[in-house]
Amino acid sequence: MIESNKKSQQPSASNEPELALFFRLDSYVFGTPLGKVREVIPVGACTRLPNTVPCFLGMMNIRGEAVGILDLRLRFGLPSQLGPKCLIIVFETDAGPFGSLVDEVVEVAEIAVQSDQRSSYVPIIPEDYVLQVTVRDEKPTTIIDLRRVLSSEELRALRTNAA
Amino acid sequence: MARIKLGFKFRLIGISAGSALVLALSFSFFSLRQLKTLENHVESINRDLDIDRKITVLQVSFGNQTQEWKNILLRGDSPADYEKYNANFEKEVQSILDQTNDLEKLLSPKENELLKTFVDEEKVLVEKYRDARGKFLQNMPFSSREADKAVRGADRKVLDSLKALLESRLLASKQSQATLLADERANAYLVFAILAIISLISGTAIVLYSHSAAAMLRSIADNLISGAQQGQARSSHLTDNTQRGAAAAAEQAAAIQETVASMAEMSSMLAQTNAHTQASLLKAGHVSQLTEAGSETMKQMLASMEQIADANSLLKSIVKLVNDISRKVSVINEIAFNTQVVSFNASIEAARAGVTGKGFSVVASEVSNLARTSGQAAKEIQTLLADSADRVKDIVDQTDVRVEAGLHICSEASRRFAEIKEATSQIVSAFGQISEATKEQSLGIKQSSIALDQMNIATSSTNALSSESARLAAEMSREASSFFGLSRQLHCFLTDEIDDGHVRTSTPSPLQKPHDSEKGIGLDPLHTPPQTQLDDRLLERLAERSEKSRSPDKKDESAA
Repeated sequence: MIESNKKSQQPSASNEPELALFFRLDSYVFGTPLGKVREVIPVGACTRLPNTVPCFLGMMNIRGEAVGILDLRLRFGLPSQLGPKCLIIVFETDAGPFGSLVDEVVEVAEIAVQSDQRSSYVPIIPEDYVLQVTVRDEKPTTIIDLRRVLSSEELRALRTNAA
Repeated sequence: MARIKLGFKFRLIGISAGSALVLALSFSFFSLRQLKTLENHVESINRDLDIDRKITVLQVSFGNQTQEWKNILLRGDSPADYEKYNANFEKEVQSILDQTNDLEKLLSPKENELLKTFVDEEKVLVEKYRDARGKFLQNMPFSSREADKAVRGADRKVLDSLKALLESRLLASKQSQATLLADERANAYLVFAILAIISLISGTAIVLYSHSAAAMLRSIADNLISGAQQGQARSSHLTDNTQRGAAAAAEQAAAIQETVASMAEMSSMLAQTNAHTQASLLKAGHVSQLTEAGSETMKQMLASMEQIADANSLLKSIVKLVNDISRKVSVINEIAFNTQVVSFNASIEAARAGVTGKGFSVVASEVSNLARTSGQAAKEIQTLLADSADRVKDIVDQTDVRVEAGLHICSEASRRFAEIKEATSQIVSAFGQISEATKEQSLGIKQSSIALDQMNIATSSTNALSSESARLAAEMSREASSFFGLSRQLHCFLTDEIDDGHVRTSTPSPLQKPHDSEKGIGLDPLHTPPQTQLDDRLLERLAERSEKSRSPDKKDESAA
């Protein structure tokens, strides 16, 4: 409820349609607000860390910076699969940059201004991550906050472990 | 037989014949005796004739004596002639004396007296002659006339005595002839009487005998009738047989002709077969040539297949090329992907720039679109290429498989062609053998036809023989019936029966017994065809057949 309020406040503040990066996981297309995304990079070699959750692929070296990579498929209960169009979306968190492995980055597009259609849609992901449900190409599309995907505790633990 | 019944008659016949025989014997004895008396008579006659002849000679001699005397007187002028005639005269005198001596032995006493007077007179005459001759010689004046005168009339007495002798002889001979004639007449009567008796007896005997002979003849006639009947029956049977034989021969001839016809048909069929075989041979040769051509074609096809295989390998290189292109296109695709990633990052950067980055955001979006489009195009190209490669690969694979199969088939076909070639050559040789065999068969059929022709000729001659035999048999049958009629007539004549058709039958006489040496063929003496071996065999077979079908005495009948 609090996030939704925040969201509704942000576009009204800029008075501009918010952009989102749409990506595909298996057959589902999700969006994430472009503001928190730092970059999109191709998949590189990851160094796995011991004593971490299975969805945490490990640390990846991006231009001299160690960035933790999360397998979103595993995180959302889908079987792990590395396709040819796989990319890593790197975004900023409070604990530093973090990467999420997705099947494909579809496009950068504006999020259509729609009423929250969350009630009509039951996503496969926990509701905590969902920012809003919008319509894209006549299909309901869920906009998720990738920063929330890993709990702060988890992220902190990871960070500390990485550190 | 009537022999027992005629015993009495025979006895009578025997008695009469015996008496006739006795009579004949006595007659013959009598005749012999008569013959002897006749001989005596003849002898006496001969003697008389001899005496007469001698007397006649005496007469002649006397005449000669007188003649010689006259010769002396007339021609005895010369001493030589005289001597000659005188010697003749003396010779005559001597012969007269000799003859009288001869006669003296033969003559009866009474006649001897007459002869004696003649001799005496003769002696007297001769003395007179001699006397006169002496005178004639002594005194030559004594002429012949005187001498003649001296003996004239002296010979008269002598001649008279001779005449008397002759007359007495004549008388005697007449007497003897009369007695002989009387004798002979008596004999003739006797002979007539005896002959009459004999003829009477023998006539009786003949009548009796003829009776018995008639009975015998009757039985013989009966036998003849029965024989004739049998002969008739058998000859009719024979006629039947010969007709059957003729029919069989005709059948045989027909069969042979049929056979000849079928042989001819066979021959023509064989000729057809031969022609077909020749045609087939030609065709087989053609097939062989075609097979060779086919084999050649197959070789060419094999070469073509190999060329196709080569082309296929070239196609494989095309696949490689396509794969290369695909690889290059995937590089493009990667570039497009990376471009898109760059465009995403550009968009992110533009968004971070806020309002100032707005135009860049649009550019980034366009770049992203282009990158996506190019990526999609690259992807499509890649797909197409992959598809092409797949298709080409498929084609190549299929072609490979097909070429392999084709090569296999080609080699198989080649092998088959070789087999066909060999089979064809075998067929050709077989056809040749067939042709040869057909020729030989045709030759055999020709020979068979010739043999059949000969057989046909033989059969026709047999046929002619059979018909001739049939004709003869019919004739014989006719003759048998006429013989039968004659027999019956004889029977009727002998028995004085009216011909009521009833005839006693009896067993055939031994004459009618069969002689097995006679063959059925021998019944045709009129017709003697040119006998070949074949003819003989045919005839024998015919005879055997007729022998089989009929009882054995038939042909003997016909032969009889």
